[in-house]
Amino acid sequence: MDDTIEIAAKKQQVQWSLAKNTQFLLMITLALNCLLLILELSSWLIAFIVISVLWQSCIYFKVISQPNKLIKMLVSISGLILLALSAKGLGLLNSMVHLLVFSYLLKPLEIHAQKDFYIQVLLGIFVLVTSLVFIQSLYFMLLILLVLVTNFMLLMSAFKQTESYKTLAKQVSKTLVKSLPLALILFIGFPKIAPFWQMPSAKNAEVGLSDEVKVGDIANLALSNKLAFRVEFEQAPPNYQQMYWRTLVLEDFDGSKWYQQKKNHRSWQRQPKREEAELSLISGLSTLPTVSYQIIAEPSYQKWLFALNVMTDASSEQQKLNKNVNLTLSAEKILNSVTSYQVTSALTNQVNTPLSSEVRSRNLAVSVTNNQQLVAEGKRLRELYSDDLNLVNAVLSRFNQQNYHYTLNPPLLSNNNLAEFYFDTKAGFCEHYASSFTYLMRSAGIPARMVLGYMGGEYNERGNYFSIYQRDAHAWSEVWIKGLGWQRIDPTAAVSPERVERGFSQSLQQEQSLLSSDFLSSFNTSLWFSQLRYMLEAIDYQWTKWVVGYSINDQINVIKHIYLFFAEYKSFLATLSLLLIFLVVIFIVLRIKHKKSQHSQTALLLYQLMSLATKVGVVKNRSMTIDQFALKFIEKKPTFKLAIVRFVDGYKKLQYQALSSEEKKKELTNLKHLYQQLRQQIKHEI
Amino acid sequence: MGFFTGLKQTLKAKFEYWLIKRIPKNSTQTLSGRNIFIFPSKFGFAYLFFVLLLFILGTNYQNNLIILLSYLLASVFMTAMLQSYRNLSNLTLSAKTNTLRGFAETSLDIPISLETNKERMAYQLFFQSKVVPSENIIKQNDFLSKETCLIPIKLEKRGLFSLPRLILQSYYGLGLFRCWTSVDLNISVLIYPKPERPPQINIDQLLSNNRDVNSDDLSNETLTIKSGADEFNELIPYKQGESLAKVAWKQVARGQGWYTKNYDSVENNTPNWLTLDALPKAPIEQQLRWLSYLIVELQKREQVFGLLLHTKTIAPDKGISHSHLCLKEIALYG
Repeated sequence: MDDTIEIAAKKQQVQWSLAKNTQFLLMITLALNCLLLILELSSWLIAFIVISVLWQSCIYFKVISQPNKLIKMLVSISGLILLALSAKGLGLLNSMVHLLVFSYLLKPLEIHAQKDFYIQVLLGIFVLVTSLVFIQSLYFMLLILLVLVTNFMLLMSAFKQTESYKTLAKQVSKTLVKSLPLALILFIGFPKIAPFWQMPSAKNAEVGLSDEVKVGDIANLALSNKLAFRVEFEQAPPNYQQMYWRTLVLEDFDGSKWYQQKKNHRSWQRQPKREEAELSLISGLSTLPTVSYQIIAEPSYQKWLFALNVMTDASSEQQKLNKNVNLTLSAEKILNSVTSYQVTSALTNQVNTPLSSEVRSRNLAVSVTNNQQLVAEGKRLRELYSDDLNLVNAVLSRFNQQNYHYTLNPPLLSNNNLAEFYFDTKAGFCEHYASSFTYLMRSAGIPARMVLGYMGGEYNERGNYFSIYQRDAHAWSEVWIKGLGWQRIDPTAAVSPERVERGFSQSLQQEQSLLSSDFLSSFNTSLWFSQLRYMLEAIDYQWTKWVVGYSINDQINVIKHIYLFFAEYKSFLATLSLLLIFLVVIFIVLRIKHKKSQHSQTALLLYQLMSLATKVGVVKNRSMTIDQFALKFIEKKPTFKLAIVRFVDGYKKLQYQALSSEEKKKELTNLKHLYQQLRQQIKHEI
Repeated sequence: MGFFTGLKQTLKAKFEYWLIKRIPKNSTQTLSGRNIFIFPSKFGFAYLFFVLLLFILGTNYQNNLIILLSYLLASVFMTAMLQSYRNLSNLTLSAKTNTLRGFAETSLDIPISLETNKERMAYQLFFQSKVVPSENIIKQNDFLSKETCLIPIKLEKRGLFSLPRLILQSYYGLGLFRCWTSVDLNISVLIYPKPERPPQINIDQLLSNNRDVNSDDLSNETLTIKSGADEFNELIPYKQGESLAKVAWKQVARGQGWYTKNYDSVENNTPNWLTLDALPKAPIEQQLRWLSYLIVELQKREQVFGLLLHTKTIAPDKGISHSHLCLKEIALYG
């Protein structure tokens, strides 16, 4: 048997070639699949894609013929050389993606048999799915599904060559829609598995805050409308002014830049053992109000995470989280996909912990090379105010009362001179204020440090969550005051209170949109647009939370909920199912009865005929077959011959032949009619 | 090795037996769950492997969307299975006629009628056999209602041949599954011997001269029907081109050389008798092929002829049905 099939298959291969329809779809899917990956591809490969698609279309329109072997070889070798050259800069994952796309581009030149065609289709779907490694938004997923339709259309066109694209699309969509329920059930219910092995991660430019900050860096961030993270509070959210999302604490300053830790502080060889935050040292922690919230962070390709002060507990299913000694949170690995984590914070703006001498000296260090005027100012202030708090307030009131102003477009400072800002230009944004304030405090002998993070957030009513964008990046300061501990001081609040109360003011927003040259942001002001935006964002949030971030815990919860639902409505569901079973049983019984009734009707007719027959003296024994009965009848009453024969024929047909229900009905009425005729005849006889 | 081939054969026999029980002979077969088989094709397995690969990729990156997509592709696999089943189910195959005839070593189109109530896609029809190679009929286009397919097969040996199981298969539904059925439509073909022109016989002369066959030996028991001209009085040397019917085969067989029997009286309206003994000595199969040729030729010329075989005699007659009768006899001879 197999032999013939193989022969048949061989025969097919000889004549095998792609239909015109299929060729066209092949070209389109090639272009679409590659297009979705385009952000990750090098320029040379993009050029390759364009050339390849053009080439294919030339072959399709018969401008040129299929290339010969030499050209194919040249193309593949040149591509491989380019790939090898760029591999180092691309990183492992991207090189593999490049190799995949490259082979996908070359395969169409080598389609000689059905097998090659199948490989091409599978490669195409693989390329398509790979793009999901990099982008996971809802809209991108919808796009992927659309392109998946064309991929399946390509596959189906091999079987329905004459079909139009519209019907193909329709049928493929039908197939996909029919397959969706099972896919969803699998997604919800199929156990999620931990990674089998480590995969190379995407090498992307870091997004958001960095741990080395030069004055002026945050201004660039402030122009970005990119989402940083989203927060959903379990209870009522805290006040806007309390939403200081601590991310990084910078303690070392070299005169122009702030660092977490200067590189020369510790030797390269001896990696410092990570110090855990000691919450037990904080006094009065238990009396503070706590909030719990879930944060869904966008991929930043960095390790920093966000939390409100004082973060007491944090966990994530995707990663191990580190609670750092200065009460910030960071991930074990770089965030290259959407990461969600749960945090509990005790809300406060002061953390009462003792200060070790080492930390104290670090937080008092001032650079000697730069900003001498500020150091002198600090000393002057120290002389004026002996109390630390008074000193702090004095500086803040100076910011508030003198004509300092908050702008995203400050005049340039020569050599990042903080003194120049403090005394002369008096225009800047959060970083200028925080940085010069911290420096001034240190000069005055108060331990102080820079804190980077985000401030506030945009509340989405529909989704009941806050979105924090890169433009919300903020810098403030923390000073250590005896008896109070680390105290959050935001100098910006003194300059531009609305910045920390409601976010960007109208004028700042205008400034921001002007500088960011983001034409969409000008729409933000119109009401209907913002309504629409909120809605779309809320949808995207739910998508990210439930689909992209669907975790093992979520899975367990969902299944538990379903179980609980069934448990809660046990009696209701039980009655419902009983009712259903009852209905099904009735239905089946009725059907059988219906079938039987047709049988019994014919039997009844025969019985009636038999009883009539006794009247004319024909008795049917039990052992008699119907044929014998008919013969006996005819013997006795030959005049009935035709009618009897017809009746018996009809009876046999109904009883023993497999008829469709319509035929049955017809036969039955026919039989009844015959019976009536016979009865009349017999009555007449009597 | 021997063990394995033996095992294979017993398994095959078992399978054949099972198949016969499951899908018994019938000249009309409607495809249903009882006689449709379905199994993933090579591409189907490759596809499954690929879906698994995607699942691993998604799991390793903990990327739910890739996992979701791999589930979607897996359920497309299931949907495709149902689709390819539905593509064939409820299709009715039936043999147009149960008696077919043809000459050996020629090709014959077997008419199969297909009846359906909906569109059917891309399927192939062929007979499953090593003995009778058949060509694939590939139906690319959809069809509705009733249609007759002609499946050409190569006829080989003479005799009554019941056709092997008819395979109807389809890869429709994305090519992931091979969905097929193997039905025995109870068709048999009567294969006539291949007509071969006998050497040294000229048909025209045979017709003009021969009215008096098979009278060379009175003791021959096959001579049940004798024509009037059964007496010959002399043997004259055979000349090239003369009717073989008049050759004195006995003398030829004895090695006395080729002679023709000379008859006294020849009645022109006596029928032609075709007999094995009148033909040159050769293996029986060869002789049957010659006979087949002669029957065809005589039928073409609308001659009256009869057939005399050791086992059966067919009275002289003419016409197509007569010649088919004769051909049937020689097809089933022996």
